[in-house]
Amino acid sequence: MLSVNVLLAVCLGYVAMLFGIAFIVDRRTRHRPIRWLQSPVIYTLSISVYCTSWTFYGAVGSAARNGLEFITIYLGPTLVFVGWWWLLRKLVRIGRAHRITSIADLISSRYGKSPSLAVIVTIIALIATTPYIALQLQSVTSSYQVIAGEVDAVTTAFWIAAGMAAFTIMFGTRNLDANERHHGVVAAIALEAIVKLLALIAVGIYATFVVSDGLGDVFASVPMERITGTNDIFGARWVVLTFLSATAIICLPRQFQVTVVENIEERHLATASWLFPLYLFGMCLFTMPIALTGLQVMPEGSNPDLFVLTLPLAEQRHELALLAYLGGFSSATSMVIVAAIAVSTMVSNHIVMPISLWILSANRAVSGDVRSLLLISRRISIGVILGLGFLYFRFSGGSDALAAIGLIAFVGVAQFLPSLMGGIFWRGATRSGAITGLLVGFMMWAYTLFLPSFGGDFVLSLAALEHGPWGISALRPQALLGLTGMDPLVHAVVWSVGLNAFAFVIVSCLTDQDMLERLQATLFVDVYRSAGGVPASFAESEANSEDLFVLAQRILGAGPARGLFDEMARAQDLDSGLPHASDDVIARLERELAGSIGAASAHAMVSRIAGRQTVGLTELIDIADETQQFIETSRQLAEKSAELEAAAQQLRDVNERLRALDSQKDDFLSQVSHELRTPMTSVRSFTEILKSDAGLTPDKRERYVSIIHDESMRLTRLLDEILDISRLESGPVAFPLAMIDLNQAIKSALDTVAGMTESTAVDVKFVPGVAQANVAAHTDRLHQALINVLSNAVKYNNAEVPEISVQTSSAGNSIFIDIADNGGGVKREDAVMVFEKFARGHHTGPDVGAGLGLPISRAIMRAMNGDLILDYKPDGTSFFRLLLPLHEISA
Amino acid sequence: MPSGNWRQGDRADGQSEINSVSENISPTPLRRKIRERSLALLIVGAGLLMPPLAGISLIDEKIAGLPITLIYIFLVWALLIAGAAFLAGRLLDSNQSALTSDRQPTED
Repeated sequence: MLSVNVLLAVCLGYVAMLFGIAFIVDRRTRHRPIRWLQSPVIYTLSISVYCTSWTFYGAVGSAARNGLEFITIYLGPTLVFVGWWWLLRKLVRIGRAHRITSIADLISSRYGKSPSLAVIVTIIALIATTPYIALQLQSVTSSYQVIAGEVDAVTTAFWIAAGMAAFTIMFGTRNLDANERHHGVVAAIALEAIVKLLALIAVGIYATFVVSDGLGDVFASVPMERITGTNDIFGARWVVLTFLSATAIICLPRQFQVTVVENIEERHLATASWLFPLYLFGMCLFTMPIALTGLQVMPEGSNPDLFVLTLPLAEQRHELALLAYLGGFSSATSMVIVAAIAVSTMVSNHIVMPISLWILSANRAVSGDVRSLLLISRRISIGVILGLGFLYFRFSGGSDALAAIGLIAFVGVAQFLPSLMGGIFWRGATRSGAITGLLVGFMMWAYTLFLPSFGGDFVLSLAALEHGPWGISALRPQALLGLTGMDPLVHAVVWSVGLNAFAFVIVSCLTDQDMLERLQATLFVDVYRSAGGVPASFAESEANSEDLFVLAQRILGAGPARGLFDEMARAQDLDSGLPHASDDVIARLERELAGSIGAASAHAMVSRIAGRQTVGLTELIDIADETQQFIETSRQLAEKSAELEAAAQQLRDVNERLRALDSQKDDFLSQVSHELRTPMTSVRSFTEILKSDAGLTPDKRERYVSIIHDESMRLTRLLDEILDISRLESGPVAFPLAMIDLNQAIKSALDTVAGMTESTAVDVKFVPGVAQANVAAHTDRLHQALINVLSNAVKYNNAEVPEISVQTSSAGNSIFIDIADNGGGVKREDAVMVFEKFARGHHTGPDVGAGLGLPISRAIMRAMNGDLILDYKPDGTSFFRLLLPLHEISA
Repeated sequence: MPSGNWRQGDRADGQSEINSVSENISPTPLRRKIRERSLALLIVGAGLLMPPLAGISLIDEKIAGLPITLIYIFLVWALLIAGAAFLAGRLLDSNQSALTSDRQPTED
């Protein structure tokens, strides 16, 4: 027989080792995160706290009694993790964005940071966890009894509960983490997860291949009923159990703790999505073989719940039995530690904290350290939780199968499901709906499942159980309203979860949300869209930085509070001292505190000091985002269509211009033809006369020849001009530029024009604005341009006595030659046209050129880095201005 | 898109927000395909493990000494795990930037 002393020594050594690991990890993590401890594998192993002693011992018992049914408890979590993308990811994202510390915190935070909701969820969680804790006590007690022989179960259970309480207090409440994370505990339960998996597989291999002769032997003489149970295995119970286990992996306070709160990186979920189901798969692989082998080998009437332990013992394999015991012990302790931490956090944050707040506000003289108060309240809560577990164990008689007790807890926490799912997927879910649903579900659970589990020893008597209270049979707890012929578990689930969801939906539809609730609803449902509750509020604040700092010190501790406030002060560009109590600071502080004491309490505490509702501008914008997106999109669309409109208009303009240019080109061609044709015609006709009429007088002949000569000269000049302009316009033309005296050039041009216009008397005035100006120009070309403009001024002048004034002036680096005349000038609408080729103005006289003068002149001026423009004086008369870059002025 | 000027948050926040916005508004066809596959895996798995479909395995026969019902449940389970493992990395890749990390050095 395995000695009790050895067993106790091994267990104590094991616990000491776990504690050592947790201690070292906690201490090292405080300085710098340990890389491998933040791996997805550790995260997955910590989630396997799901496998308690119910799995370790109870699954085999369940398999021995009901066959394959036990597997539903692992199929539900498998489905939830396989579908992690759709639910768990959102929960984790919300948990991180809002610094969620527990499932009570999540639900209360979602429904407007409601303290009453937090209290309700906490109480339900506390009561629902009780049977589960009792289950662990029972399994550890029974397994101890197996080895130690007949000892008093109640006394043993009491000492085990006390030991576990001490253990959990040491583990979980040594300090307060700002994010409610326990790296040390996670490391310890990860190790325990490995121990329990190895132990179960070792026992499984031993049972299958040593006790039996391989898998074939195990199943050889097993009838179908052993596998499928006596009832229809794939029936309502199968579905309900899968549903319950799927719910439990989300709603159990300890699962929420390890999956959501202790999550370090969202991407770890991806690994857990297959690794955790694989772990469960491994845990279940040998359940059936162990159960079947136990049924064959063990004597009639032995408890199948303990086959994992009794099978090796019966075969005198003590070291294997010790390993199995440690595995069971690991399963129980890891569950108790995490569950007690999770629930005690909820109790202290949501029940103790508000009460102490109330006391503090009632008596301002009391200024206790909230931090130590929190720690103490957590320690007491842990004691209370284990005490309740012990009491449940004592009163329920401790005789039920492990699985049945576990399922009571599952149905209890399943009451959170409607509020939770509604909260994160349905924006319209209201606080009243959640409270009503939770209360209705909780009462139905207590009445149909929890109270009957005491078997008539607690509140409900045996008679009331069988015939209904006061003999009203419609109120029988396990056949409510005469609903019989159903498995009690299925019956309880249908009534509690069903009515819960029903009440939740109906009341939500009938009630309204307040401001904060609507805000939180949007932030939770649209968590992927918002960046999280980032500061910037609009509300008035009368907070005092000192008060806020004191509050932060009390909850976060002096060091972290100092660090936080220094950081916020730096953000405000303050070198020393406390930051101003701006809205940013208050909202940031509330978020930091929420990580320690939950959103509702943090909100209440900060609001008490700051005296306001913390509704962030950013958060409001997040709500408005959807609308804003539409507005923004339509605004962009409007802009785009305006741009398109403008582009189309430009295209139309360009097209118009192209048409004009095209018709100009046509005009040009016909002009050219016409211009060429006129002299050609006279040349031809005079040549024909000379040719055919031999009797012409020498006089006439002389005259005709000179006409032919003149016309061909005109033709040549025209062709020269056309060639000239096409050369000037086709690309940059380099004239050799020389420094010339501008005044001299103008005078010479005026002389030439005077010669040309001898027939008409022209009054030319030349006012040199600059006495001596040297410009870089080509003498002949400048001469040509000047003559073109000047002769234009004469040609298109209708005045009796044409007057031309030429004036030079300079401004900046340019020198201007302004040429004006007293003829009608150029109308503004013709301003562009005068520079077109073959344009001759409206009044065409007899002696007009081909209309190439101005375009050629402009091209010349541009080639000399100057320009020729048409400008208007203030009185509206037009004048031509030739510009040239100035090189030197001698005044 | 939410206008950037309105937010006082740092660049990284704004960036991840834009990513998450784009994640919800316009998943590329490939991303959507992967997500649809993960949903399909879930639905098929649940369907095969639940009645009435699971009832098809209720045959009182053994293959290699193992009852068919047992083989069926464990086989579907194993395939679910394999499918999840296959899709996990792809789902992550489908919007890497939108997943947040806590591994930032803290001041205290």
